Amino acid sequence: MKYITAVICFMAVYANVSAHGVEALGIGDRAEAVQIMYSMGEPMAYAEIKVFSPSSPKVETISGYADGHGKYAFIPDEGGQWRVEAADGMGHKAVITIDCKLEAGQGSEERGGGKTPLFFKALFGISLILNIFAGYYIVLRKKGVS
Amino acid sequence: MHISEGLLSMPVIAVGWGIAAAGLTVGLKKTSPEKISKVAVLSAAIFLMSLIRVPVGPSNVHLTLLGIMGVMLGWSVIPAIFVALFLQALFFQFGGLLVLGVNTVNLGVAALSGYFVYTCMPKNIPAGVTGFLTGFVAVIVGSALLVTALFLSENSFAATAKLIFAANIPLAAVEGIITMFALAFLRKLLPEYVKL
Repeated sequence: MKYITAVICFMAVYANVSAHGVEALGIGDRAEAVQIMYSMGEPMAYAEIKVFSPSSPKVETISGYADGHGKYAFIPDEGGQWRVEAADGMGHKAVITIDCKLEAGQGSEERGGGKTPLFFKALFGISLILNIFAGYYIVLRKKGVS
Repeated sequence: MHISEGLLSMPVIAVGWGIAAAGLTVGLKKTSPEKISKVAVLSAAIFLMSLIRVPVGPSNVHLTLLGIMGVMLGWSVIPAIFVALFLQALFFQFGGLLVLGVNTVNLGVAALSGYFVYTCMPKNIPAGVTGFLTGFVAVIVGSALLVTALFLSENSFAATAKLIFAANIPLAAVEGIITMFALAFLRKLLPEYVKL
């Protein structure tokens, strides 16, 4: 058992540098959202969107499509005038300018905090596994199972 | 070999949970108090296994060692895999809680197939061949179950499923070789863990 335990300790350390995983951080507080509507109030569903940053006013920085309600959101990484162009492919086009003021500490750099290092997750997981089976052991012993 | 959330149909998920519940019941009944420490340690090994990825070309793979787990734990491998997959889904978003039943069945049955290969193989077959087949068959069975679950959920997954199965064949061969050496090592060092 001690050999296997040693291997597991090694794996826990190695996992820290070779793991894959998926994480999603909530960054909705940094997003700019627009809704494109026709003059009659009807949303421009699935409009083609081009977003131009202040530093790149001629070549779009972001492109995509609005949702079924004509809504689109993007995350600016610099302050200034962002231009959003929306077209429905049938001759209708809307241009919206958004004045974006980024607060200090915001921008392209990632925010810290709220992310548990993988190594601690792995250790916590191992600890939980051992505790789960220890609990099961106690239950079996109390039942008198041999 | 994790199937992610959102890929499987509800009937497949329900059947997966049904089979997993039956397997868990049998597995827990066959887990004696003396065996629990071994189950816990190997469950921790399964939990960590998918974090260790080996770069292969543009992608990367990880070993499953299902055959060895099956040989060492027998039916108790199912609770070990269930707990490991549950925590992987919680901590690392591998697989998911809804598809936990199907994933437990895929890996649990794969590990048990390795166990049955190891225990049912005729005694006149060389130990190395038995060891290789233990690891090889476990991965092939796991891949086949994964592909079946995807195919039963959505016919359009057929092409993807075939690709996944084909990609797992080299992995099965590598696992077979590793299992062959690992079992030979365990027979010398910890013979009570891998005795027939």
